Amino acid sequence: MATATAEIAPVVSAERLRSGTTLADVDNKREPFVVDPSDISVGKDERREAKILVKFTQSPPSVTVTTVAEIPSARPDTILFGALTNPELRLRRPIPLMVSEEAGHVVLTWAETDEFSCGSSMGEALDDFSKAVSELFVELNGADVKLGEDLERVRHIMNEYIERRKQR
Amino acid sequence: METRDSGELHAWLVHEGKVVVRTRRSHGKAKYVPVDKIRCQLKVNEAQFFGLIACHVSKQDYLQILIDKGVISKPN
Repeated sequence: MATATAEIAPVVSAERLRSGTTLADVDNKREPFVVDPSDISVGKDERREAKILVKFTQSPPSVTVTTVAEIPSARPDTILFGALTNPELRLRRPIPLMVSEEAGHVVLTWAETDEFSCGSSMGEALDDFSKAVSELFVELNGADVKLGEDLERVRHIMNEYIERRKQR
Repeated sequence: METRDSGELHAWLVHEGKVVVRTRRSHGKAKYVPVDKIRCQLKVNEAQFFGLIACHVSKQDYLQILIDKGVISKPN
């Protein structure tokens, strides 16, 4: 059994290999080879695009891959959103957002209102959130709009965070 | 549900003259659709959500789900 050790976990499409030991099925190959990342089960339903070169020298024909380090993420779990781009609106106070990563995309969630946005980067997700929340605010505060109880609650929460700029 | 495409796809359900549920799908660069977030906005569980997609859940079924969850009130 050979052991391949990665000093730093590979980063592919904003996904990270978690630290841990996994077993890769390598059939009966005896030459140096590249492990198919789909053969490496690192976490729940996760597939990796990383190619890990393994020099195979011993039998039985299987290899343990140990990822010894997990790259710390610079991305926080929560942020305070304060960059509303709609010039007609302003924030009364910053909006607390949960930051998560799904399939290599950044997803921002305003839990109180179930509003969300996503993007391939944090910047794109923030931009999407700004547009989404602005449009929702305008919609919910429309003069002719009648809302059900739940959306009335959402409107009430939004109005605690967002207001229209006063006309000069 | 009624829909509107304004660069983003918006969908909402009007019941007895009131908007009771709404969701949207971004048309941004990202192709990814966080279905779980959309499911939460529609106030359904996973089975009900996939039933809606597959049209196994009718409008009447959906209204009953929303009544059961207290999102809308029972018809008088």
